[in-house]
Amino acid sequence: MSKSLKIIVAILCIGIVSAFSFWQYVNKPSKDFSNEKVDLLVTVSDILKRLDNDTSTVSQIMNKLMAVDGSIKKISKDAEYITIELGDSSTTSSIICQVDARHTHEFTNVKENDRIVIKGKVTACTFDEDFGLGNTIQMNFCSPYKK
Amino acid sequence: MRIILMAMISLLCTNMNAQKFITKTGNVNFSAGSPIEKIEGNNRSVAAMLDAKTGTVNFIIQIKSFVFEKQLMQEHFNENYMESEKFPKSSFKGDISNLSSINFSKDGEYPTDVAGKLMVHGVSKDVKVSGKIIIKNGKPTLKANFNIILADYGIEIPGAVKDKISKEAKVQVNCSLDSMQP
Repeated sequence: MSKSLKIIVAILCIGIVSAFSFWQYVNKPSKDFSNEKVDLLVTVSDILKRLDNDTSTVSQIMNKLMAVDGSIKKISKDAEYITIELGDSSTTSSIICQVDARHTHEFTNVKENDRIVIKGKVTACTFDEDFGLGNTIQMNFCSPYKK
Repeated sequence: MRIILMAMISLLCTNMNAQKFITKTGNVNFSAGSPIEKIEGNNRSVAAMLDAKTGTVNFIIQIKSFVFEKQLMQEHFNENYMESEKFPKSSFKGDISNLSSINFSKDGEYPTDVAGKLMVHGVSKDVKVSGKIIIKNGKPTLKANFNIILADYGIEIPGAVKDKISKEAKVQVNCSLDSMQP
């Protein structure tokens, strides 16, 4: 093999590998947090109480991977997705958990009033804005918490 | 006498709250893709409130709670397009124009027109949206499909990805509401 041919083959190989790496980077699926270690483990009542009393709680939990232990207040299911609201009937404040579509099968049997421990990425903390909705913590990419 | 009075006040309060419906698990999704690339975001943590007496509807959408299939899309959506740290939420506040034609106590599907202010990316605009309210077992579900032009809300698309991203986003709203507890 001539030297120039070797160079062309090498350039082609580098090009193919680079293109494949770039394609993988662009099409990388959203992160699955199910095997990640949580930053904090809390109960629903404790974290909502903390949010009520201390607004700095927002900065302490935002973007963190949080596991929450509590009762299911409401569950919304459709063919592909499950959204779980944790809380109790004594307050409108609650935690909304959007279940990761890759883990919906692990929640198919749960029902309202069941006690679960669920983990997810905290994406928002909102305070009651005149609607009577109470304070709310939102979590995405939720999956069952396993010790 | 005092007991009767308290019972009447309690009944009145219950009745007043029964005219309000809320959810924190409403669904809003959008698509802004092209034939080259599918771009879809889905948010199932939407807060919505409907006052059946006044016809007022409110939606609050936390931008970071949109979920995408691809990690890079999620990052670009939050950091480059919606700037979710700077503008963490979108909202809509409006009034049902044809409130008298909706019977909230009778199951059925009611075409609905809503006019109000839509705030996206820190820009607020007057919009009119046609949709429907489906009443089932006394609970309303709000459904609507509409388009928004991204440039109207100051959302810029870089030249490098102009062929991949549509100038208009198709928005789908689907929120099942519950009676507000007294």
